[in-house]
Amino acid sequence: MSVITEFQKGLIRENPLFRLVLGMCPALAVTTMAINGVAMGLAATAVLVGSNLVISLLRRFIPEQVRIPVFIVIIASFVTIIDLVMAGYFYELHKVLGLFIPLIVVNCIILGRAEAFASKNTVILSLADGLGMGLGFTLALVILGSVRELLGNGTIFGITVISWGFQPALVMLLPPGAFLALGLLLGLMNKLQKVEEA
Amino acid sequence: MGEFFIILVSAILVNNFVLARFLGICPFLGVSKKTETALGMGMAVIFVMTLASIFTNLIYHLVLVPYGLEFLKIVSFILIVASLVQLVETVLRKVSPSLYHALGIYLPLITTNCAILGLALLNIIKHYDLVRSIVFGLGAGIGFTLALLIMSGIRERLEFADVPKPLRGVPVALIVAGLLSMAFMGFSGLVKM
Amino acid sequence: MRSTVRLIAALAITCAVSALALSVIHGLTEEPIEEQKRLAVMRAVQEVLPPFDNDPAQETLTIILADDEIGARDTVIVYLGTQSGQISGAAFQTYGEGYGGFIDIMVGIDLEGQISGVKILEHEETPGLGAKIEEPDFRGQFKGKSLENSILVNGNLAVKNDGGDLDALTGATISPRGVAQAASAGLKIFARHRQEIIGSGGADEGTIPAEGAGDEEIEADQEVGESSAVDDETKE
Repeated sequence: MSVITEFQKGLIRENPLFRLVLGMCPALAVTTMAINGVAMGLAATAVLVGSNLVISLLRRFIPEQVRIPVFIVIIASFVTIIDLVMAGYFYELHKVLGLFIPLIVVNCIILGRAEAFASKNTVILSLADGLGMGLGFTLALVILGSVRELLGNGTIFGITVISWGFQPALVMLLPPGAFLALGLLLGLMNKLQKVEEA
Repeated sequence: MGEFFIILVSAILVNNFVLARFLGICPFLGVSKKTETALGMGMAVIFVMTLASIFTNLIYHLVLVPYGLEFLKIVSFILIVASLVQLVETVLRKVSPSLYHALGIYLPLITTNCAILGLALLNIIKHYDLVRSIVFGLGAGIGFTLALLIMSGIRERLEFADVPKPLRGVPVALIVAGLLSMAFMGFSGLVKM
Repeated sequence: MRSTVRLIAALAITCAVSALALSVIHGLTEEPIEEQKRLAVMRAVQEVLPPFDNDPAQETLTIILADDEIGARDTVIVYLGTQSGQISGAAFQTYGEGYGGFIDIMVGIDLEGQISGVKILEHEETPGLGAKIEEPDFRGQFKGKSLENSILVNGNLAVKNDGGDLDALTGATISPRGVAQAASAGLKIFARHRQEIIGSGGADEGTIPAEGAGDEEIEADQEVGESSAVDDETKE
């Protein structure tokens, strides 16, 4: 159990969105553009690292019966901090992500890692786990966002990539497109995994 | 009275919490495999959502706002939701043990159902008073249940279809959800806002 | 018994520490947040005003709307732009009904009663369709429009589909309609409160002709019925 291993697993092998299938609500909602995926991913990572850190530090002091409410309060506090900081210093992004910043608190990834890992492991390992999972989530959001932005708008990160003779499929920016994109991407990941295992 | 109807229809059909607002996806995919569990989950969610609307609204307007503590809304709302879910769990275990067991892990997971917290926050954003919040909560719950029921009906039949291997399970469910979402888009323009 | 106390204590301490930490952060971020909101408003104001050389944030005016005036809040903050000390234009917020909800805009109007700019502040329109109202190409067509030089439908600016002279967007008519509504509200409010806003004494320069009923002599506390600006021009 090394720091590097714990960090790496969240990136691909146990990617929270693509493999563990967690955090779908924000993933579907904000990924109309790749840049939004980055913002949401980093915000969630900040909360995840913070809560993993604190929960791991306090793991011997939190009684088992009330651990879930205590985790929730800690996570909710970090989410509030991120929400306030973004409103004060990253106004545009805060507006775009809107409702889904506070909803980070119910992002199953964070509570999931707190319960499964941070409450049982050392601080360093928990930090690595949080960082890895968070960045993996960010990576997944960027991929999903890029696909939707590319097909729905012809751009990636605002840079026009396809324009000649290309009619954007607007549906990709709308709810149905989100579901379709994620479903097909998950299918693709499954296929790639089978190929890898073979 | 007409306005309440609009809020209701809007929450159930036009801006369905699952298919248009992307709230409650995890339980939506997790519990929609069988219609009985879907119905049970839907009922539980309607109940929790309506109560959550009431309590979060009251706490916000009677405690947080007068003392300038709006920044505590995330923490207090989620604690209220968690307590309500705990309540439902306890009640359900006594009243209907079979449903309690059927729902299993998904019952406590209602706490992390972003639809509930999302509902509480939306009530604040839309400046809904107590009565409108209740109507909105009711509509949101019904909409969630509706989406859940339709989905479970489809997935039960999907069991017998020949789905390509990589797409089996969650991927095809998402694709179906995408088609449902597209269908529900037909409701926009039904009511203004 | 002792363990229950321990449980409650653990939860209580967590909540207390959390509340404390959040109060601190709240205190630190309160100002920056207010500042950001102010900046967003001022950016919009500066974009829509006719040429000015003052700081509109320092020259504001609050006007109170009559009951029958629609399209803005009951008390409207008007930001004034001046050039060499003379008022050159005014900017304030109005709204119209779009497809997904209300559309809030900042509208700038010059002394001739013509729109000098429109900036979309808030909207819930469909991305890729109605949301294109944000684009300068669409908004730009409002420049120079007034209640006199445009084709009015029911006294308002309107899109071509409704008989007016504004271009809508491909595949989206309701969103542009909402913006037209909001812009019209702005023009009407300016016309009715012109005296208050421009501040100069004496009768109007005559640039806003009396429409319909003709009593455009606005006194701050005289509530004129909505007979102003109902001078329908042609309706196709």
